[in-house]
Amino acid sequence: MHACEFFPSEEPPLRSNLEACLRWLGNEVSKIHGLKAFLLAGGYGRGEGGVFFPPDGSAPRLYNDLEFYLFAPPVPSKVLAAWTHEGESRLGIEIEIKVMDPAGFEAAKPSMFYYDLLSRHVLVAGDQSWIDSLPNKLSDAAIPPEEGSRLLVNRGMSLLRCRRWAQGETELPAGFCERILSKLKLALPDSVLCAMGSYHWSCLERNQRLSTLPEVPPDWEVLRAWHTEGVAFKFRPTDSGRPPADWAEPIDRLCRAWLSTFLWIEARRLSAGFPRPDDYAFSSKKIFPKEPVFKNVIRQIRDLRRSEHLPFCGGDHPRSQIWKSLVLLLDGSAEPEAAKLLGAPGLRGIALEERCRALWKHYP
Amino acid sequence: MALMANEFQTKVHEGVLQIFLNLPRLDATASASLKKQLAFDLDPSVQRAEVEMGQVQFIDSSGIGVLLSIYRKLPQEGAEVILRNVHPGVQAVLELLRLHRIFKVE
Repeated sequence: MHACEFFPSEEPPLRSNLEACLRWLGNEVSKIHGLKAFLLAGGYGRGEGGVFFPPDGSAPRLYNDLEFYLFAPPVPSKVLAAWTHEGESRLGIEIEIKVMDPAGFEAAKPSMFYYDLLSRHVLVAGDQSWIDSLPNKLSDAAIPPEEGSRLLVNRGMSLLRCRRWAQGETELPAGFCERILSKLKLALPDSVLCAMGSYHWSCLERNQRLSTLPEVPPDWEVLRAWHTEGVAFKFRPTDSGRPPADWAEPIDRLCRAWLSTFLWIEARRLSAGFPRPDDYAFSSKKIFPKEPVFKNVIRQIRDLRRSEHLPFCGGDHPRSQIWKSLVLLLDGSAEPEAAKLLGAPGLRGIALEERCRALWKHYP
Repeated sequence: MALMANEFQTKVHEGVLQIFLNLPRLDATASASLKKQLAFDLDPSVQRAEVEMGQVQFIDSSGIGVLLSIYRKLPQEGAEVILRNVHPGVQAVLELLRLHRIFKVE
């Protein structure tokens, strides 16, 4: 493992504890036959991880989950669980180890995930030359513009949960809402950068690039200020402990910003006009024009027996229904129509939103 | 992009490591080269580091990482990293990360 930074602040005990844990994990993983690489990704892998300073003055601690990617033949889940458990008990945060087929990754299409992972990471174990030999998909301009919309859809799904929590209709872990809203504050301008081919793996670099765009969506200065807040939170997260009701107004503003930004980047991507949520949700335009019709139809036929299947959507990819329904759900104006799009006309409220999230997992 | 040697210069004089950054961006590319150079210069005789930042208009987490690694390699007692002529954009990042409490900004 080469020397790395993990987070941009000076906390020697935290850093040495993390390094020791990575050395231990690296030794374990190195025993795998056929290992290509074991990477620490996410914020800590990019040197942009968060450090939480408890308000009571106790020792600072890591904040985000640790995300690892293991490029190797399949590993028994018992072994993975043992590594995860040991790592979590050493570090006090959640650890996720995703095993990926090296050949599948070599053939993967360019994406924000691929770009983020390969641009900056910590090689914990394995072979740097394998990483270096991967096909060059690291140009930020090679990320499809659709990835910006996808990022917003991910955040929008979490925003639905935060709104229910603020309305007192569901429980969320402490600090969850604050974290999600901060991530959304980053994601709104980031999605625009992605749509314009100007995304970058570093949030500091992205923050600077926000001033250079030739076209911007409505309320851009507000979004830029939010991005700076999001960067600050990413490095120095906080937990204000404010009660759910206090978040209703900020969530409402973020819902509106989500809608206007999403409709703007989708209109630009699809060369269409979507001034209102309805215009997008009931548009006959294909949302995924590059996906072949026959493949989409086969997908839907294949899934007919599953509870997650969706109504036929004119040859478009099934996830188009999910994106359209999310727009309606966040707008809050046409729940019955969203339910129809999701193939569950009788569902309402939290149950409908849960179905939307479940379908998104099935048709990512 | 390869960095030209004159994009940074280092000098050790009476226990002070002086670093002159003659480049507009202290990012991943610049930081990697600078870190290699500092591996030679940061010997136990160095007590303090002074970094001339007047040309640097942008710093990313890699650049911050180099500055922190300088700080970390100085003797624990009395370690001091002085950043001179810091551009407002860079200053904003240092404040955002609360690093102005670790580095002395002049």
